[in-house]
Amino acid sequence: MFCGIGNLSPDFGRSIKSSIIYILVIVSISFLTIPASITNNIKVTVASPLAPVQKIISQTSDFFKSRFKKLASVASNAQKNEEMEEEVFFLNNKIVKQQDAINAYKQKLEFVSKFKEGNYSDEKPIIADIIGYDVSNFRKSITIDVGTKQGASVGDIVVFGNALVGRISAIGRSSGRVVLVTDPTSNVPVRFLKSRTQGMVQGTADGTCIMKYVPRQTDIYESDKVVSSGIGGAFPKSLYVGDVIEVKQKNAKLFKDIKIKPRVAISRIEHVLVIRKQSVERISEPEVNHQGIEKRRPDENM
Amino acid sequence: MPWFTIISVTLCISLIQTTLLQHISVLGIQPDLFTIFLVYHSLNSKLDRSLHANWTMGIAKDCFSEGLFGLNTVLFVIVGYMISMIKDNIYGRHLATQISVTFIISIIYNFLYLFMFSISFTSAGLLPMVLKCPFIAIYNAIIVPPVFWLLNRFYSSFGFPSLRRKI
Repeated sequence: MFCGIGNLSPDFGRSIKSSIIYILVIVSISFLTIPASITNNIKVTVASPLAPVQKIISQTSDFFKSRFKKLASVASNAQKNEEMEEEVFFLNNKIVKQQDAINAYKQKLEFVSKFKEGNYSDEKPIIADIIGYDVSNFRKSITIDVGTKQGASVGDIVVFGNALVGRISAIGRSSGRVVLVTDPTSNVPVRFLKSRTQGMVQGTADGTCIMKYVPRQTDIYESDKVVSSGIGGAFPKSLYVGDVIEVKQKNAKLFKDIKIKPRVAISRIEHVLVIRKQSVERISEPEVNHQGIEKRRPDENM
Repeated sequence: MPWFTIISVTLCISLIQTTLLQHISVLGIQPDLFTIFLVYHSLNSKLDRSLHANWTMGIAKDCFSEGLFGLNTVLFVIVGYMISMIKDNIYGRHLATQISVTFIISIIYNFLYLFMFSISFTSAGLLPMVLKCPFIAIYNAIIVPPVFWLLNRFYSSFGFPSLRRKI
């Protein structure tokens, strides 16, 4: 009939545990209601202090990865074994390490100058190193070591050698998160280079993309190139997005099923270029004077 | 001390997951250390402690991932609670059980995640992502032995209270 203290204690403990669960679930669900602008700030604030550590680990792992690749190529190529062993020996020296760093800078400079050659914008693109990847298997984003301190902002476009990589979705002081074109929530307005047919490229999280809204009567072939159309203004025109690798046509469907292989394999690159939003607008919209006549560069008529 | 342990392990796992695991991804699939840690804590520690650990781990995953903030936190608390409920009925110290539980939990967690994801983004193509789930689960299950061994070594060598259950 009467419950003693000894009988109450387990119930009390159990009720505390269940209340902890309820509190944690309620707090977690309340996170879901926070607007994206605030949660992006939270994410970047939490991730920013770890950015220098991420950068060091990424650079070290990239260094070892490149060395490992060289070692692997030594194993596969028996004839060049001796030469490669020597090379590995020398790679361990400090001098070669410095040369490696110089080469990296040289590569970056060439990378920027190539980009500048192909664009009208006077804005300087920002070189960014990739310092982290998305932890989820279903989302595709990267963390770069460029933030508001370097002049980047949300919505800036990220490219690699005139090929589209993605778009900045959240930015901190010294790091930013880029949603890649392969992310399932990423939608890029595109067109085929030859046929000029428009469509929308959407990520699938498996490293490829699909192209939607291409009418069934359109002739599309494998290895056709896809470039950004610039419609909507979010992405500049004429950036190389990828190549068609598969075309399917189901009988009842209005649109073709097209699979695209992105031009940039994100796992193979170490740095990217950030194009600021202002320069993106300038690239995608030709300058028009007050009389409505399009301004052209002198060399453009050649 | 438990909070210090949980946060330090969470930070280590976050750093490894964001930087190194990309290099061992197969067909775009990388092992999910967060899920493995969730299974480890839920199998080996008391309910309240595992819930704290899972909650912290969920927040960390949300912070280092694109998408809806709080989704992983909710799922980690729910899935962790599910494991805690069944752990007394299974022999959680055996490697085969650990591998099997990780495999099953990976599938359940990924399906729950995709279900919530499909509500948020109705236009996203779900089929390729659904097809990825078994492969992610297999990859997670494969790396369970070394990760569990490392976590055991970490907890014991740093003098933190053992997570092992008393039989």
